Amino acid sequence: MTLDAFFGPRGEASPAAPTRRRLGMVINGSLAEGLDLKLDSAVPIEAVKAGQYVTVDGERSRFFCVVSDLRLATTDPALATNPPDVSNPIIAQALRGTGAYGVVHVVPTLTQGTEKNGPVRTVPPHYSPAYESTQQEIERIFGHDDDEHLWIGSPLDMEDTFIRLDLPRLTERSSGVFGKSGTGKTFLTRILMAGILQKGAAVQLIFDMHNEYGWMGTSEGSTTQVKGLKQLFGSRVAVFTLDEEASRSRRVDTDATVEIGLDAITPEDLQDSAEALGLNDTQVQAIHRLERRLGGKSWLGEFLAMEGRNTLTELAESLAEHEGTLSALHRRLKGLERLTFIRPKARTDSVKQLLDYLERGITVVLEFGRYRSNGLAQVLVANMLSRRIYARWVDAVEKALAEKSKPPTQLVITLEEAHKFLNPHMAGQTIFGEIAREMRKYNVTLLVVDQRPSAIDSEVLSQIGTKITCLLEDDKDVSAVLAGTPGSAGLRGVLARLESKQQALIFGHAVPMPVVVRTRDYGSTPESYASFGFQEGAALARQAERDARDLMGE
Amino acid sequence: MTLSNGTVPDESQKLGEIIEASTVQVVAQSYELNVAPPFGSLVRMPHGPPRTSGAVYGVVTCIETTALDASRRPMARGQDADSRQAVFEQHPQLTELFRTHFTIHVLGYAMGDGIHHALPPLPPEIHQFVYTCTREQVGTFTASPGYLPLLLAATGPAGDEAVSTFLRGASAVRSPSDAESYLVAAAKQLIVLLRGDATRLNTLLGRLA
Ligand SMILES: Nc1ncnc2c1ncn2[C@@H]1O[C@H](COP(=O)(O)OP(=O)(O)OP(=O)(O)O)[C@@H](O)[C@H]1O
Ligand SMILES: [Mg+2]
Repeated sequence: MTLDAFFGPRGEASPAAPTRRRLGMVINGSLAEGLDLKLDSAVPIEAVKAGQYVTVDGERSRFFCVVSDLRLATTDPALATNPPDVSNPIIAQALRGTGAYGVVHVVPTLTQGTEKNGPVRTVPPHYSPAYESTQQEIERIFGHDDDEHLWIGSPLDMEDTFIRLDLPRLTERSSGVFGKSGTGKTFLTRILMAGILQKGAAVQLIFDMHNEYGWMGTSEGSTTQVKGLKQLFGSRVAVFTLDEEASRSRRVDTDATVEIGLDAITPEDLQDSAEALGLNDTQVQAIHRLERRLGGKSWLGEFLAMEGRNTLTELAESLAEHEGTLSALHRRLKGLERLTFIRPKARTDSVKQLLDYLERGITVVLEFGRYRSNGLAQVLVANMLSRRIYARWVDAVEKALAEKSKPPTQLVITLEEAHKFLNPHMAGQTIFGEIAREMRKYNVTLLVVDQRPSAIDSEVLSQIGTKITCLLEDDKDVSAVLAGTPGSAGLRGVLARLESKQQALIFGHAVPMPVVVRTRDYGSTPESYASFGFQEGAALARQAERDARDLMGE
Repeated sequence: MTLSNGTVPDESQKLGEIIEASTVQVVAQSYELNVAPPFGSLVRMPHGPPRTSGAVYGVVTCIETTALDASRRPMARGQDADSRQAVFEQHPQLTELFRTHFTIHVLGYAMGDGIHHALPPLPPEIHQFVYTCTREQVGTFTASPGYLPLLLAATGPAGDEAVSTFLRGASAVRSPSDAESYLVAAAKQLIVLLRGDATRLNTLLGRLA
């Protein structure tokens, strides 16, 4: 090797293509720990940042790497302890890159062959040159602007480069959006939902606990309100509400009001909500016996209507149940009556309505209105509806298998505050635990949104294919999110250095390698809506026309 | 580098003649007493068949003036004279009793195909002339830093003085901006070549700039 090769090309003529900026060369490394690059003296170390992409040209393939650490090194310890006179600019310049040089530690994440990208199973040889990855390279890895890819954001310091998610892979397994409060989970989720809608990747059922997805969400930014899905996608989205009054006062154009009849609630539904109802195991077992005893559909209504000690005592005796258990159960279940959407008998069949929409491929957003922080309402409704819809999807898939016909469309169910449904205590029994575990078998997956991933059952977390996580500060949460991910030690550092807003680390099924993005803008400009295919005036006209057609049942 | 057939560039001066030669080191005698190429400068000695552009290059690492007859010790003579010149006027034979010699360490050679920063296959020949180099010749010889290992090895009695003088001289034949990048590049090589000898490196770097 010539000294020139060691020092990198000198100032004047570098024959390399002008689009690739050379950074240095490989001087050390291992497959397990990554590569050390010696920075060329012409490259200021401060121009290289953690998280940046670097391409190393091996002899047989290119290695696509991410910068994980930067270090200062000297060739001779004496230079560090007894440095030459660096106040002299010539000496200072000469030392840079020779006696004293920067070392960039990179982790190879993909090898780029001529046709496709593959996992990393080897390392490039000594002195392989390393370059800043170009926009084209990055876009080749993360997909192009087509029907199967959703632009989610840009790499840090590369505003004009697009990182995209593979939509079929995103929706075919459950995915999760995590991050502490105020980091941009809701905005990210909105982008995912809008993208799935725009590209028709799946039909969605969105449990909108905080009323921010269907119609007008709030933003802390300069624009205080952002458009919801219904506003962007018109008749392709239906807004259901649990609280007509609240929706009306927010001037939301709702499509249906959800009502639940006491006669529709099964012991399993109550079991799903046991925690929210404050029921212990004995009480849950009593419910099952109660139902068998009172029978029919009206068992819950009858039980709640019972009044007076004596009635309950009699019932307890006939069931050979402890009287205390029964009266406590009675007291707890009475809480259901405070939920206005629960009536002795529902006027409409909300489940059927919901299925009608979903089966026509229309995304449904269910607003919770005043129940935005009512755990019981959230858990009960989400479980009840999902259990019935899931059952329908399971039937349809099995039927399609038997008849070799087209299976139902992929369904994505979005759950905010997912830990309420998927905590280690609940995950074993609720429908959501089941959906998460069954994975893609029945074409139903979850999009869970949570600020405390450590509160989610670890088995469920491990089934989440794609994780999109904003800043997390609690160590437990960080460990929970990264558990089982290769290279998690490096990712931990990356995660801790995210900015507190609009930046996220994405890894898993829908991306070929972990990536940090500045999330695409939502709502700050008209263009941000237009990029989802939204056209102000034209959209309204088209929507009206489509609405009319829908009304006519065409 | 090619020299136009046998001719010597204008500013190049013929100052001496080789009287002792090896592939590493040459001793030349000056034609004129007290006249020699400057310490630390690049010199050129034609080499190879006549009328080719071949030459050996070297750096002047020592200049000395001694009595021709080493067995006879010169005596002080100027006690009653007004100046050194007066001494020589009174004793004209003195010019013949002394000779100026200079030592050259070889840094490379030129053959038809250009400059080689390496020792020549054969030493320069006895009685070959020694010329000073033109600015252009210095610039060409030092265009790439390959001469540095031989230069660092060419330590005469004055140690690294010749090295730093040579490098300063080579930078002086360049434009100011080129001079700086030349010194930086040379310093970079020194840092690599003198790895493990921080004292020598620090001294040299200190003299460079
Ligand atoms: N992609 C984005 N485009 C525009 N603004 C954003 C984006 N991401 C985050 N923001 C800004 O950051 C604020 C907080 O984001 P968001 O409401 O999504 O946080 P969150 O994680 O859902 O918080 P919480 O846990 O409290 O619900 C938003 O109000 C908005 O102003
Ligand atoms: Mg939120």
